[in-house]
Amino acid sequence: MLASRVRVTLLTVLLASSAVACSGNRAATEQPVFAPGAPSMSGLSAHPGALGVFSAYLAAGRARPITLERIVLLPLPGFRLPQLAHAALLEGGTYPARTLVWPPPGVRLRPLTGSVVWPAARAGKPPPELAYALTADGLGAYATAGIQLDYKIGGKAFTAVIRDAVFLWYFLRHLSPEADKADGTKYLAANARAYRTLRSDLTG
Amino acid sequence: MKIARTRQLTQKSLAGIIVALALIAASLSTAPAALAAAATPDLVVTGALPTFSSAGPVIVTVYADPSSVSVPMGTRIPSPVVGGPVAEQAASTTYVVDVPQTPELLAAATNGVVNLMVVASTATQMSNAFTSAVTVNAALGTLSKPQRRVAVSRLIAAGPMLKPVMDTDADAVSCGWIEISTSNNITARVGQLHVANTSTMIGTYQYTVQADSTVSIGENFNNGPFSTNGSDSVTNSLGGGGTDPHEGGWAKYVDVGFNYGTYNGYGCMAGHQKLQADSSNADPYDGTVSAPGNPWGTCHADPNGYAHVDPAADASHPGTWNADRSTAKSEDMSILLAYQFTGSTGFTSDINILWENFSLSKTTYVCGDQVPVQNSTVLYNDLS
Repeated sequence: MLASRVRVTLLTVLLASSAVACSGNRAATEQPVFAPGAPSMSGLSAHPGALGVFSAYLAAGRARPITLERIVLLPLPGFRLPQLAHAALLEGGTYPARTLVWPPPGVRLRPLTGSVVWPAARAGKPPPELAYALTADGLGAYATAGIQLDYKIGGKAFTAVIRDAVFLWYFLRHLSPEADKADGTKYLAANARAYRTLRSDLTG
Repeated sequence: MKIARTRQLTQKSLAGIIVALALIAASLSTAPAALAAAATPDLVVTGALPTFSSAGPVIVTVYADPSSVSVPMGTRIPSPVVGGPVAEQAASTTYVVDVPQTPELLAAATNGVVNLMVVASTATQMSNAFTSAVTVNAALGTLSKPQRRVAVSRLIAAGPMLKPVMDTDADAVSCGWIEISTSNNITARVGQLHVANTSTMIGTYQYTVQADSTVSIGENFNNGPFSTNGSDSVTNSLGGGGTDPHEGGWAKYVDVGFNYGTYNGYGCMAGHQKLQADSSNADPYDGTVSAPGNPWGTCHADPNGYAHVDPAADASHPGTWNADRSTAKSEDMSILLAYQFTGSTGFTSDINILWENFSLSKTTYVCGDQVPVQNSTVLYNDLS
């Protein structure tokens, strides 16, 4: 009876250790898979000098801790690329409405570079979220096709594409009501064109 | 004793393999020249077979059905609907049929989609015909889905049948469908539009010229009840696409007019009848039924996170958020002759939703059942 119990225990230990060994081996060889997914595009308009602040979730299959390095804006064909002014990891708080300044009020930020995150939803909470601020020095349309995330696992460098695209429109203050309305029409038309371009860019 | 039995089994297995190889060799030698001379296969159709009670080889034949899509309303499908076989192979319990990329197959595609019909038969029995839509990139001359699983799971016709397809010349095969009537502009549910409950939000469901729907096919035998037997793909090619905008506080299904055909089988399909979507009218309009609300109550409670629709800069410059529903929810689409069509729309392209926020101070949120949000099958727009 005792011998049989010992055998069962030994078998359990062996199975458990082999399972750990297998999962450890898999973790060492597999990197997270950031599926770009369907395209989405956030649109925002602002006056010159303001920042456009946007956010993006870091969500991957086969998630495991990664060390963030930096983000790079992906250009959208036919549109000027805005400049990346700031980027950070959102640590808490409520992302404010129409944020045009940095740092966004009401949130806690962590420096992006060197932050270690688990890029997936866990325990009923959303995945980690990036916040980044864009700027441009002209009027009219600027757009991105998303962002490229550079990260490391165990010192080895990887990149991922996150298809949260952005449309940014800068327009002058103090336009007459008619001019403002005309500018709004151009803004929405350019926004729609940017989204069409994004979709055709992704579908080939 | 045990060794002897093992040896006996091994001999049986070897004999089985030899027979199978002989059958395959025979199929290759007797296949139509066009099939035998085909180039490297581009598409593999696989699946499991039902158990045939009749003796003899089971032949799996794949047809390309040019009736799949985009027939103008009122147009009768030319007969025969089903063309000659594009591939065939001997099989036993499962089948793996290489479908060569022939000009005939590409020519059978309409708007980039061809429906493949799979039939398994012996000398006296045959399976139901199972259909699977396959996307073809006609411009590149390639099939975009390298492998397609089509379940041939039941036998619905027994008794003396035609000779096995493999024993006949492809041109002599008489097997197909004739459209006997059309039911046009039948309401079909293609999606849901949710707009946050505030007058400053506008949500627009865009059903554009390239919208695709995958719709079930209903089939019966000897006037029995219709049951689902595969699916086909319907491309909106009749209209220029449409939009269905709504102000806040909206949560309803979006409907589109679909045109369905009733087909009678002939030849090896005699006695069968099928109901199939022929085309869509690209005219999105409001469904009469309210769609279920956000299952999490608010987007902030959605464990998958949410996207922001930022407030407007002024009355002319709303904040916006666009998303493509790459993975649509399957809906109960239409009912015809007591058959419930089910299907999903937008798997391939051009179903998208635009939200515009004209509030100067309030953000609204978009969320769903996937991360990232835009991958969700249904997108909800809420105030918090």
